[in-house]
Amino acid sequence: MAGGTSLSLQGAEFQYPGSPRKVLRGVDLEIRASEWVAVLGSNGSGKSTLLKLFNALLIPTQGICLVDGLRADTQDAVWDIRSKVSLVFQNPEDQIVASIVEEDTAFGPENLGLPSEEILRRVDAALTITGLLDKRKKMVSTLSGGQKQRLALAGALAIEPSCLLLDEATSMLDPMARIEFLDIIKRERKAGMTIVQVTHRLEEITAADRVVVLECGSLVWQGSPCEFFDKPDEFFARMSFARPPLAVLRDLLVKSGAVQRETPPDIRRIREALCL
Amino acid sequence: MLIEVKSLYHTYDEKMPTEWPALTDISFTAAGGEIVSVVGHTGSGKSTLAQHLNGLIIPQRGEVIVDGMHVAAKSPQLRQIRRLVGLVFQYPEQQIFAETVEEELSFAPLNWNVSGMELKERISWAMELIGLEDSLLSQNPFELSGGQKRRVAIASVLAADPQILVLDEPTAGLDAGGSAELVALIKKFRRSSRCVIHVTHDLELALCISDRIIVLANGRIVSQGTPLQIAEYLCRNKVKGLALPDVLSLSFELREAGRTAGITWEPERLAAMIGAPR
Repeated sequence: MAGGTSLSLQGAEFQYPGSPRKVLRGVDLEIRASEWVAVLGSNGSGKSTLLKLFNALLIPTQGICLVDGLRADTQDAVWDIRSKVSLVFQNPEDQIVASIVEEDTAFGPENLGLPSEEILRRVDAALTITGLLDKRKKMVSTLSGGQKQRLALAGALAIEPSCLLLDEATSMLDPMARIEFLDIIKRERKAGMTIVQVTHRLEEITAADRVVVLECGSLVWQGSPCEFFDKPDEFFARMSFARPPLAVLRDLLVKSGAVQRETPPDIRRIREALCL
Repeated sequence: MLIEVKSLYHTYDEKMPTEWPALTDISFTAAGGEIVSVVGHTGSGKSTLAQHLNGLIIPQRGEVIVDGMHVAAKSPQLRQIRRLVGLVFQYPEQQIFAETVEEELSFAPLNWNVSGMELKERISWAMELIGLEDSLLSQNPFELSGGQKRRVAIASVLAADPQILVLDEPTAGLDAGGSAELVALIKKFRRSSRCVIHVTHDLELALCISDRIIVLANGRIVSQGTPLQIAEYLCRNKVKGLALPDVLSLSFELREAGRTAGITWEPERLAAMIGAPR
C-alpha cells in the first residue's frame, strides 16, 4: 500500500429508487489521504449510504464523489476505485462469498487477476493480521459471529487497499477482539491508510483525527474527538448518542476538581491524573 | 417458569477432522422474573447455547429442561417448548419477510392457531411492549429504519407470547437510543415474571442490567454469579476475550490502592467514591 487515498463529496445527495426520501442531502466532505475520520449519527442518518458512495457501490443522485481525484460516476474509474477502497460491512454475512476461510479471503485478489503466488502471499498476510491463520481451512459456517467479522476484514485487507471503510465493523466482536481489531486499524493507518469508520461506540472514536456527525442525511457537525466530547448533553440527546461511561466519569471528576478539564476521556490519561 | 441446563455438551462436526467442542459441561438455571446474561468471547459457544434453549439444536449429551419438559429429538413436547421459549437471533431484522408489520407479527401466532380477537390483542401487546406505535402496523417493514426493523423483528417473537425470551446480541448495531429502548423492553418483559436470557459480549451492559451473569470461555462456564461477584471475578482473573470495562478497571485499581472502599462499573458511583475516600 503506497500512501492513503483522498476522498471528496461535493454537494452529494442520494435517494434510493422509488423512495420519496433523500438519504443524503447536500453533503460536502473532504477527507485527506491517511486521515482517520469517524462518522457518527443515529440509525437511518445516512452513514452506511455515505460509505457506499466512497467505493462506488452507490453513485450520488446529485453532486460529485471523487476518490483520489477519480469521479465515482465514471464507469472507467470504478475498477481503480474498488482497488483502492475496501469496505467492511456491519454484518459479515453480507460479504462472505466462499465456504472455506482461505477461499473467501482470496476472492478479492483473484478478482484483481493477480498471480497465484501473490494471492497466496496476500491471503497469508491478511489471515495473519486478523488472527485467523489457524482457521484457514475451516468452513466459514463453523466460525462465530466475531470470527466472521474478522474474516470480512481479512477479505478487505487482502485487496491491499489504500482506504478502508468500516461500517460498524466491530459490532459483533467481544471486547478484546474489538481492541485487537482497532489495533489492526491503527497499524494500517500508521502505515498510511485512509480510514473512514462508522460506529455507534463512541469510545472507539478517540483514535480518529476527525469526527463527522450526520443527521437525517445532512452533515451537521465536524471537529476533533475532544471537541466532540465537549458538546453539551442536549446535542448528545438530539443525536441519540450516549456518552461512554469513561467520558461520564471524566466529566464528573472535572466537576469535582479531581482531574483537569484538559484531561481527555482516555483511561491512561485519567489513570495518570488520579496518580494511579 | 424455569429453564434448567444440566451437563450440556455440543460438538460440531463430530468424528470429523474439523471436530470442535462448542459446549462442555454447561449447567445453570434461570427462573421467571430474572435477567440472566451469558457473556463470553466470540466463539465461546454463546449462540450455540442460545439455540439449545428452544430446541433449535437438540442436546447431544446432557439435558435442557423447560418448565419440566425435556428438549429432545422427536419429543411431542418440542412444539410446546418452542412456544414457551422465544429466540431472537443476531440481526433478527434479516428474517423479516412480510409486506406489512401486522402480517409479520401475525405469522407466529397464526402458526399456533391463534386468531381473531386474541391475535389482535397479542399484536397490540407486543407493539406496546417494544414501544412501537400501532400506526406502523400497516407499513412495509422494509421501509422502516434499522432500529425500528430490529424492534419489529423482536415484536414478532413476542407476539407468540413466550415465557422465556432468549436474545442473541440484541443491541449490536443499534444507536444509543435504540439500545436504551431495547434495555427498557428487557426490563419490562422481566417485570411480567418472565425470564430473559441475554447473550452478549457487552460486559458493561450485562453488569448494568442482569440479575445473574454466566461467563463462558472456550465452551465452558468459568464463573456465574451476581454482577458484583462477576465484576470481582473478572478483576482478579483474565478471561479470554473479555476486557474489563474502563470504569470497573479504574475502580479496582483505586480500591487496591486503598483509596476507595469497593468496586463499581457505574461512573456516578465511582466519582462519589473518589470524592469520599476511605
